[in-house]
Amino acid sequence: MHKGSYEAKRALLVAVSYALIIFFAVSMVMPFLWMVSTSLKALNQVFTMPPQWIPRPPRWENYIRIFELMDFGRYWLNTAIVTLGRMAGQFIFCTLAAYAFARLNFPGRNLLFFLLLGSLMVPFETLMVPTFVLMKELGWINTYWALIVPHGLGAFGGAFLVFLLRQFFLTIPKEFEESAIIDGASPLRIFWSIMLPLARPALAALLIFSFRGAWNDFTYPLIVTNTDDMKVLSLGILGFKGLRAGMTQWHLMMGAATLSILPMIFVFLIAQKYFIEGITVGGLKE
Amino acid sequence: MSWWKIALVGLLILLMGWGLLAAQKISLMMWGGAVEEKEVRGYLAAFNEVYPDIQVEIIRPADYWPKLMAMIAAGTPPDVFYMGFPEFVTYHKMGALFDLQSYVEATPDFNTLDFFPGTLDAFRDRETGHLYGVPKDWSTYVVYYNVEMFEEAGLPTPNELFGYGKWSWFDLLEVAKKLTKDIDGDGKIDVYGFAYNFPGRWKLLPPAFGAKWVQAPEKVVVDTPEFAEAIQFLADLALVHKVMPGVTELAEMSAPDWFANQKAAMFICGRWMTMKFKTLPFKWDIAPVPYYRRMYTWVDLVAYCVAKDSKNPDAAWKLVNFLTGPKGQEMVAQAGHAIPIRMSVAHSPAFIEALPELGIHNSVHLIPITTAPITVFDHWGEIWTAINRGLEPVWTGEKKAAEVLPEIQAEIDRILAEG
Amino acid sequence: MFARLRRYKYQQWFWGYLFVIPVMAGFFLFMVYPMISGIALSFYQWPGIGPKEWVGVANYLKMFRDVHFLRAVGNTVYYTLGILVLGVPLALFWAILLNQKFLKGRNFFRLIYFLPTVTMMAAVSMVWKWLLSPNYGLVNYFLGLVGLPKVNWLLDPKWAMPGLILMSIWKGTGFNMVIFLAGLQGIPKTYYEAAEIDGATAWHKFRYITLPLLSPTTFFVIITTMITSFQIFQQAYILTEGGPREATTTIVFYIYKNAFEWFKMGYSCAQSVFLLLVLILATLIQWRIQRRWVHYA
Repeated sequence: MHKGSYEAKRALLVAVSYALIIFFAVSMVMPFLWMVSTSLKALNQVFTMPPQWIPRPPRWENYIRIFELMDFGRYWLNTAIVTLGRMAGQFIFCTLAAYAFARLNFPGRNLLFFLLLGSLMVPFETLMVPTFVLMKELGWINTYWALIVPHGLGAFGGAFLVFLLRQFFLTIPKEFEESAIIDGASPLRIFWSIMLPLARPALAALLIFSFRGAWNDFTYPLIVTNTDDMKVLSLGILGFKGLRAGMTQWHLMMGAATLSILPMIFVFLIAQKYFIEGITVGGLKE
Repeated sequence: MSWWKIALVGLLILLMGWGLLAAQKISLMMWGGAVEEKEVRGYLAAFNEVYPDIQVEIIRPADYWPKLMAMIAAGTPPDVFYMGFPEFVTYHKMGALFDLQSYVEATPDFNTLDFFPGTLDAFRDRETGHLYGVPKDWSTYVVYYNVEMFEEAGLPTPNELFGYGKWSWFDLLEVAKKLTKDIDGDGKIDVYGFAYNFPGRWKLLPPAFGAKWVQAPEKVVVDTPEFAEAIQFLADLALVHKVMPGVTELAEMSAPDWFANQKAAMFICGRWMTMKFKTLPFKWDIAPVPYYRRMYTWVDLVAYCVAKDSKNPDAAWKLVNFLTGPKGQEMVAQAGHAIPIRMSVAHSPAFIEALPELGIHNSVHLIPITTAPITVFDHWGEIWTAINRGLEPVWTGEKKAAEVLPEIQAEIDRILAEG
Repeated sequence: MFARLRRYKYQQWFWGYLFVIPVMAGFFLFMVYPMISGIALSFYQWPGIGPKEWVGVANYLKMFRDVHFLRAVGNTVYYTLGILVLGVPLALFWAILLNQKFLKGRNFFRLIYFLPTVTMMAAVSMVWKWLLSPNYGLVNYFLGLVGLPKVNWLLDPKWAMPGLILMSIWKGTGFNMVIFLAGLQGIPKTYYEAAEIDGATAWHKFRYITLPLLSPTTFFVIITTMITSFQIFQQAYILTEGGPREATTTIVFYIYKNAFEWFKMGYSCAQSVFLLLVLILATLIQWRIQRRWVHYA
């Protein structure tokens, strides 16, 4: 084979790869751009073909209108409270459990761990009704308790976080704790002063997963909350869904979507390294 | 500071504390948009002038019925809530509603004869005759039309046509044809003669075409030639005559938006649209809906109900009584949200001359072209779902109405038989 | 020193239980208990308030005669297959594409591809409702540019589900891509170097090195994707409300409707139990057959 033809082939391959990569990248970003663009138009500008990408003039007042039409501040506040509450709970309890499962020997450890892992097969969607009934019995319907406590204790997906952290703790060499044990440190102490500092990247991943899960949660709050003042963002923006109300105010709907998507993207861009590390830790090892 | 000043301050604090303790809190659950809520806040402000110690919290969920049911099931129902006359049957059967009869009897100025005939009966227990809800207001469907477009085209308005006795559904079609325009000549229609949310509100037509489709609570008959004719006529407005936005167009812009953006000359809906259209930058008016073999318009009737588990039924009743009383109903008249339920208010200038700046014929709503609301049938929600779903191929033109109605009938019979 | 080690052994018991108690409590109270009470409830008829009426297995029998439920099962399978057949290979393709050494700005592109997965499904669904709208939707606009006919995405029963699948692929493929990327990076380079010396083509390297060595990752991706796809709800709830003509009524959507719109709590629990069994069964079957094609290095 001629060297030249090999290089030509290779150049072609590179060119095709780049073309594909850019094509897909554009498809990924376009919906976001279109969302923002639509949110800055007047309603009659929305209905134009071919599409007009840059709204002229951009109508920032659409956003003021959104805040008039719905209690966005309240939805944000609720989402923030729920997200922080769940993150705190999962950070503490899932980490502790993960450490115990990874490093402490106690009878029944493996059984409990596999039970917990098995819960990953039980999505919340199959428990909608009994969860509603349970929350009703606890008197938690339409309260922050219902929104925070179960997830904070690692139910509905927390098992994944336990798994993630356990995998990480397993990779830490035993020597780190052995000298501490000989010095008479208790497991709590070892956990606190040796394991936690070492686990920082994994903890970052945990926090981000926890954040993403809580911020985007939809079905669960749909079931356990009723009133507008307890709504989280994902439910609140449906005030614009409007099939039933017969509304098709696309510019306002896109504005509301923008306001609920942007914070998450912002956090992601800051913390993306841990994000991707977290997935790979969870996905790699069976 | 002398002793009496201290005593005065003490007394003040005591009074304030007593006032706080005496303040009662109840909740009112409503549907509708932010505009309606603003209106209701106005009613509540007036209520608090009379009853300053009752605080009313508004609950306005995006999906009203599932949430109401969930709150009742959770044991935390709102004290007062909206209730449509069809849904009333289900909720009453479930035992979720408060028996208001004793309150009605203990309230001398609650004049039952002042309510439009039949409207109270829709919310009574069929055996005991006890009242379980007080109608808050009602609404008939009317034609909203863009006066400027009619003037420009040199056409007689729907009100004039109604006066000449030339306002059948087929007359509407002829008018709509003249008003439908492709302004820029690109083959796409820019202005429609008529816009209507027909996939959800086809119910306006069959009775006008002579179909008696709700014959009893357990007898719903849609597989008749008249029903098919009505549905086909409605579908053909979009499919054949192209004078009305079809399903696809409505998915992008809702029927009221077609009218509000001056892209449709006529539009049919209930009174609540008047409130939304108040600020439109063009002149519009309302006219009676067309007729055919019969005169018919759809009536929406909504009541305030009190929850059986309400912790404060006294306060709830005070709210209901105030809102449905003469004062409350006058505010309803002014809002353009619905027709007052009390005849004394509906026939007074408060309603007839409401919203003078719009110059619309409010009295159109009172033309008695139908006597009572449609008979309620069992399994209301499921049967509506079945009919709406079954009609979908008709709206898209894949099937004729006469083809799908037997299937729909079979589904209805199945639902009713299952019980 | 040995005393300390021995003491530590018992300390481990104490602290071990203490550390797992919160999570296990959450697990038993909020997952196991509802699961059991849900199974119990599936034998009753109950509208959410008032007394429950025992109906035995009637709910289960009804389920298999309910055309709407069967349609929901069919729709869910359709959706899941769509994601597995189109989404998973696409994720692998992306991973390979973004794993090329010559590629400049790899991390930047990975970020972009991953972006949709961090966003809120509720908001994204609203955005896609607009993107897929028939006359002014961006998707149809681009179809028109390349000379394809307009599709009435969410209003045509034939196209509504493909519309949902398209959106879900956009939203979720980046996640699987990252897992595949990690898997690819775990394959020792020496294999490829050896193959290159033997003059293997790119396809051969892919077929005989990448695919087999990646199979544990692929297995993981398929299982998790299947489980999450079977739970599809939000897209159907927000974009299409189950329509048109039930074309997007999925199992979970139908469960939701039965429970919270028609208040047939018992019936909807029976459907939930069915869904749960399907998920468990599918996972078990996957575990069984994986031995035939998954190679653990």
